[in-house]
This record gives sequence, structure tokens and C-alpha cells, in this order.
Amino acid sequence: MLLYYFKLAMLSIRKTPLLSFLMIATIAIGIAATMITYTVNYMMTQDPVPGKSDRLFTVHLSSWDPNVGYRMKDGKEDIPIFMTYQDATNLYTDQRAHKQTIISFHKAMVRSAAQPRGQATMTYLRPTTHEFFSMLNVPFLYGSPWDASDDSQGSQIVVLSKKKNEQLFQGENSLGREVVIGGLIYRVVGVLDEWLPLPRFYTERSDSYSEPRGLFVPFQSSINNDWLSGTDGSVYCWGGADLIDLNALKASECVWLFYWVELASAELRDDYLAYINRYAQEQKALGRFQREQMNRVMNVAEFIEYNEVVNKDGRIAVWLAMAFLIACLLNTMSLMMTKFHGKGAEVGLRRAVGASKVDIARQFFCETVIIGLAGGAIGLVLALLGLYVTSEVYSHLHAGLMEMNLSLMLLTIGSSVLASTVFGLYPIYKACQIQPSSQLKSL
Amino acid sequence: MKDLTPILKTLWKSKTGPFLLVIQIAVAFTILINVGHMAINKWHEINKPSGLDEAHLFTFTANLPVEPDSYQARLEQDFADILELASVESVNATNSVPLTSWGLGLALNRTESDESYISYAGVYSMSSNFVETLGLEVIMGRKFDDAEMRLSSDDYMIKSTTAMVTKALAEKISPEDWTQTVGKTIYINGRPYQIVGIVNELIATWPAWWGNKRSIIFPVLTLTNESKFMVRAHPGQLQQAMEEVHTLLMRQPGRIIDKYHPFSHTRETGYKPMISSLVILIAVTIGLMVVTMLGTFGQARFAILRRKRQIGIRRALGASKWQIVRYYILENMVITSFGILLGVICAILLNVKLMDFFDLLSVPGEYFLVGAAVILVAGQFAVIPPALSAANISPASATRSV
Repeated sequence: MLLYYFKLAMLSIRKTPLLSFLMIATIAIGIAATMITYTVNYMMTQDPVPGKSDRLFTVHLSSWDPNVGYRMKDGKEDIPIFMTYQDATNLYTDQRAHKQTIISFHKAMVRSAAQPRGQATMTYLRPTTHEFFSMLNVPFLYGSPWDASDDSQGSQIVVLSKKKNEQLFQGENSLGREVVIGGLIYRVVGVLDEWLPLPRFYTERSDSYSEPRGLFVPFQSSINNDWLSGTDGSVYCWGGADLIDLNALKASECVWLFYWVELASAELRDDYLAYINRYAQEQKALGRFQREQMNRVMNVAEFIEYNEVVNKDGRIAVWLAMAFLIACLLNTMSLMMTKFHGKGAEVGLRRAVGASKVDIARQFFCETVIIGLAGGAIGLVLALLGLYVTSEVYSHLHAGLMEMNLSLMLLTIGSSVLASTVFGLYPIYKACQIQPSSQLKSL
Repeated sequence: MKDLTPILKTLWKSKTGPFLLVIQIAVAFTILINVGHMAINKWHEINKPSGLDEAHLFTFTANLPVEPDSYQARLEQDFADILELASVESVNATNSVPLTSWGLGLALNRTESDESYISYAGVYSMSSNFVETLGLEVIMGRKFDDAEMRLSSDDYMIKSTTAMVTKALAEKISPEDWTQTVGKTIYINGRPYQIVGIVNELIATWPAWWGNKRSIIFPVLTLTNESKFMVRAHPGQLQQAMEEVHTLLMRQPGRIIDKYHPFSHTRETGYKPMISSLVILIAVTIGLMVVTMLGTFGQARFAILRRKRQIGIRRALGASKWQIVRYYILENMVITSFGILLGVICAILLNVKLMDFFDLLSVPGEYFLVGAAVILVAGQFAVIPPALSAANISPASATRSV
């Protein structure tokens, strides 16, 4: 019987091509607009480290100037999201979390040892510690992360991103080859596979939707080399520190390092915070940390929210697109009213020969499902097209934000069918109210 | 006008279709007003004057490839060498380049206490001849003299005691009369600074900050291993100046130059996100208008098909083609007006909500008028084709039975 209804529905759609086209087109446009904005927003807000984001925490300390607060945020005093060198290394030495990492920044002229000097390019580096990779689920194509002893010695070794490996070594397995970083020789110990955490939550907000840096080196090696660059990351100071070189920075109260920890479970958060507060008290006894203690740990989602990584424009766009979809659906609904009204005679006849209201409803329901399916399919094509255009327009954001995954595609079709059937309910109800007699009389 | 009564009666008799169209128009109107307002705001942000002589400026960062104690000598030598080039008019060093989103912002207070907050401002600290290099216009007071210039390796303002502000910031400092600002003292982090001059415009470094007309400038030259340079070329010689300066600086062994761009590039990159949003907003607006017109068109067309006989009878009874067209145009205007009326209510409500949620500015009244006019005109365009085809229904069709 259902099959027969579908056949009837197809017939009816073909009989009024313009009307059907208008219905399908408006649904398609509305669905496409909604899905484009939703996709961008969804991709921007997705979990960058699935399965782990509630156990990864960044640590913020109240180490700031006793006289003046660090800054105001939403009318309250706020503490830095960065840490001083002494605090970061103290906490790192304690090894109290399951895993922990210090994240720094540097830039230098980089080339492979085989390239001539003139081909060196200015490159952003990421000095960090060995657990960075396992904490953030970073995939390796060749080799592996360095180990704890490399961190303590500050070995001159480097992990390359896949892209950087292509630039420097044409994508070959470059393990053991040499890279010259700022005039110093670094040996390649690992090459990453494609890795694009979106949003890139572990550093500053301005970096959130760009690609990760291409070279990772042990933090201690950047310290050994006295590397200090002021313009590719933030250094905030108080108390008139004179930042003439790295030693001055290390001894100062300037904050510039990110500190992230992975705990064995999210429940250990309070214990870890208690440890951080104990550490702060110890420091206070030593004469530091004289401000009110507001130390905190934030998990990935909280830090993304705090950092205002996801922009408001995106959320507004989703709301607008949904309103737009509703306008489109109202349009479809009025077209359906017209259509089912035009079929009054057919309904009357079918009712007269014994079809119940439920039968009529089923028949028209099939029609709305077909319209929804067609609208969804065309809407999906339009959305993919729209996303392509969007990624051209938003060329400053990573194109990975404008790609639909399978579940989003299914959502597109599904929401189209749902919308079409829900907005078809009233027209169907009206069509079922048609009295057989009134229609038969006029024939 | 005598058509109006039958129109209202007909609409009332079968209200569902027109009612749906009314809601659709209301939704469209609501979105149109809000999106239009957002788009125009963005447009104004993008076209805000920077106060700079953008066409002749280029900027870059370069290291000072010497030991820290000779930074100052090296930088002064660099300035002197660059100025010797015939294509260069002026050069200076700055803590941050306008519109690069990289810089410092600070809160200004009237007294030492944080409670007397005036405003937040973008901070520039620049070497002495920044007024000439950036092409700024000093409209009150004076510019810094050489004796005021300070050197610092870490901080942008602590060593200074004077500052210049933009006119927009002066209006915050002296809300009653901005021309009284020169000579006043403001406090930052408890330290006093005397304002010695006012520049007309100097945009802060963040393109996306709505308050970016408010900047403060300190006479401090920051000496680090990496300096930000701004160079103004003679008219028509930007390209040449860029090449010559690069060659000149690269003669120094160990020199690293980065972010070497004409200012037009900086502006383009800085405003890229906003321009992108603007394009999307415009696309949404166009899409919305198209769907609304489609809706009106569909509604009118099928209303007419349904009333084919009625039209035929009117024609047979002597109605002219024009009267038939007029009927449908009028009907559409009635529906659209209801839609706009409902839309005005929705737009006000939505705008209040949007303001709560996203702290947007409220939509001024003229947007309602323009939006209403646009929707009315679009509706008319959509209804004319079906109305014309209605007028072409022959009177004879009424006489046939179905």
C-alpha cells in the first residue's frame, strides 16, 4: 500500500511541475543556508581532542604584581593565561599530573642541511616537552616523540609537521636527517601525519583557526640556546623587568609559557587544583604570589569558552539562517496548501469510494516525504557548493572548517525531511477535512 | 480603492494561505532589518579612516644584528641610511603597526585609582618623527620634541611622562569639550601622563575593535632585538623604496627581515574577516529576498489559478484588464503591509534579544522604513507577472462550466 502511495505522490508531483519545483527549491535553499552556517559553526566548536578534552587542563596562576591587577575581564579581575619560567619549570619538575607539558614559542631562519644558506626561511617553531604529542593525540607518520632524557638534556632534535617535511625533504622519510635552525644543527626524530586540531586550543586566541607550527623542538634546547623572540608570541611583564636576554626573562616575573596537564580522570581535577594552591602558598611564603590567590585549572572546553575562540558572528549567522529556513518552510507550507486544495476533487472521489481520512493523510504524507527528500538532496548539493564558496571567501580561516562530514550530510537530508513533514501536517489536516459530498456535487 | 473591501473579505474567507505569506514576510522583514543593519555597520567599520597616509607607507620587522648595548647606535644608523635613499621621505620605529591586531591596549583613568576609569585605548610608542612618517594631522597642542624621547628595552610607556591622544579619545577624556584635553593629566596603572597634543585620527591596531578610533601615543623608542619599522615613500615611489630599503638592510650580515608589506596589504589582511562576514551577510540578504519573492509569486499565481472563473466573470461583466491587475497588486500590498506590521513587532523584539545575547547596537528607525519599502517593492515585482497573466484570462472561460 505504501508503495502505491509513493507512486501516487510521484504522479502528483509530476502533474504540477512548477508548484513542485517551487516547493523543493525553497526547502533546498533554506536547508542549504542553515547547513552552511551550521557546518562552519559546528566545525569551529567541535571537540579538538575527542575523548580527552575533559581531562586536559591548562593551569593559570596568580603570580601577578601585588599593586596592580593583571587585567579586568567582564568586570572582574583576571589572572594571566601564561606562566612564568620559574613556575612552569617548578611544576614540571614536580610531575604531579599524569602527563604535563610546557608550551613556548620561537621563530628562526630554518633550512635543511642540504639546502644552501640563502634558501633559509623565517619559520615559527614550537619549543615544548615530550608529552605534548601524546597528550594532544598527535599522529606520527615516521619516528616518534623524543623522550624525557632529551627534555632534560635539551637535545638538538626536531619533529617536523607533514607539510614542513614536504618543504624541507620533499616528503621523504627524513628520520636522522639534519635541519639548520637559526644556525644550529637539529636532527629529525619524527614526522607528523596530517594533524589539524580545530580550534587550536592550546595557545592564544589569535592562532585558533590557523595551522599548527611546523617544527617542534625540546623546550630545554631553546633555553640552552638562549632563544628569545618577542613578536610571535606574548610576553607580559610587571615590575620593570629589563628583558635584554633570555636569562633576564627566566629570572623575571614575566609570563609567557602555556602549561597544560593531562589527568588520569576528570575527577582528579580538585586534587590537582589543591596541589596548585599548595604550590602557590609555598611561593607566597617565599615572598612571591602576594595578590589574592585566584589560581585555576581549566579544561579544554572551558578554556575555549574563556578565550572567546568561537566568534559571535558565527552564532548569529546560525540563528539568522534558521529564521531564514522557517521563512522558506512557511513558503513551502502555503504552496502545499494550494496544492492539496487543488486536489480537492481527487480527495473527494477517493473518500467517496471508501478511503478513510487516515488513508488520505498517508497518501499526502508520502508526498511531503518525497518533497523533503528531494529538497534535502538538492539542499545538500547547494550547501556543498555554498561551503566551497564560503571557504574561498573566508580564505583566512582553515578550509577544514568548511567541510561536511558524513553525519552532517545525513543531518542535512534528515532535517529537510523532518521540516517538510512537520510543515506539511497542517495542509494534510486541511486536505483530510474535505467532505466527499461537496466535491462530488461540483463534478 | 473600492476594491479594498472585497479584497479584505476574500482574504478573510480563505485566510490560511495569505496568513502564511504574512508570517513569511514578517520573518523576512525581521531578518532583513537586522542583517542589513549588521552589514552596514560592518561596512562603516571597514571604511573607517586610519589617519595614515596609507598609499605611501610600507612596514616590516627587522632584527638589529648586534649586541644589545649597541642596539641604539645600530637603529639610529639604520634610520640615517634609510633616510639617505632618494625614494624615502620618512622612517620611524613603532611598538606595533596599525591594523595588524598585534599591540597593547590599556585602561586610562582620571586619577591614580582604578575607579576613575575613562576608557580603554590602543597604545603606540613611536620614535620622534612618527607624525611625519604616518602622515598624521596634529589638530591641537604640539607634537613631541626630541628632549621628550625615551629609550626602553621592555616597556612602552613607563619611562615617559607625556602622551598624545586621538580626537576620539580626547572626546572621552573631556566629554564636555574635547578641545580642553591638552594639558590634562591622565593615569595609567597609577602613573600620571600629561597630554601635550591631539591627532585627528590614528586607528588602533585591532580592526575588529569597535573603539579603535581611540589611541594614545607615547614618545618611547623600544629597543629589542627586533624592531618594527614604518617607512613613508615619496609619492609614486613606493615600489622603488621597498626594493631599495630591502637591499640596503640586507647588506648588514645576520640581518633578518620579516613581514615586508605595503600598508595596503596590512589593511586587506586586517579587514579580511570583516569583509568575509559582510559578503556572507549580503548573500543572506539576497537569498532571503529571492525566497520572499518566490513565495509571493507562488501565492499570487495559485490564488489566481483558483479564481480563474471569478476573474472571467468580472471580465465578462465589463472589468478592464487594468482593473484585474490592480486588484491583485492591491491584494498583495494588503498582505505585505500586514507582514511588515507583524515584522516591525518581531524586529523590535528580536533586536532586543540580539542585543542581550550578542551585545549588538540597536537598529535605528530609518532601517524600518527602508526595509518596508524594499519588501513592498520586491512584493510588487513578484506579483506583476501572475497579475498580468490573470488579466489575460478571457471572459469566455467564465461561461464554460469548469
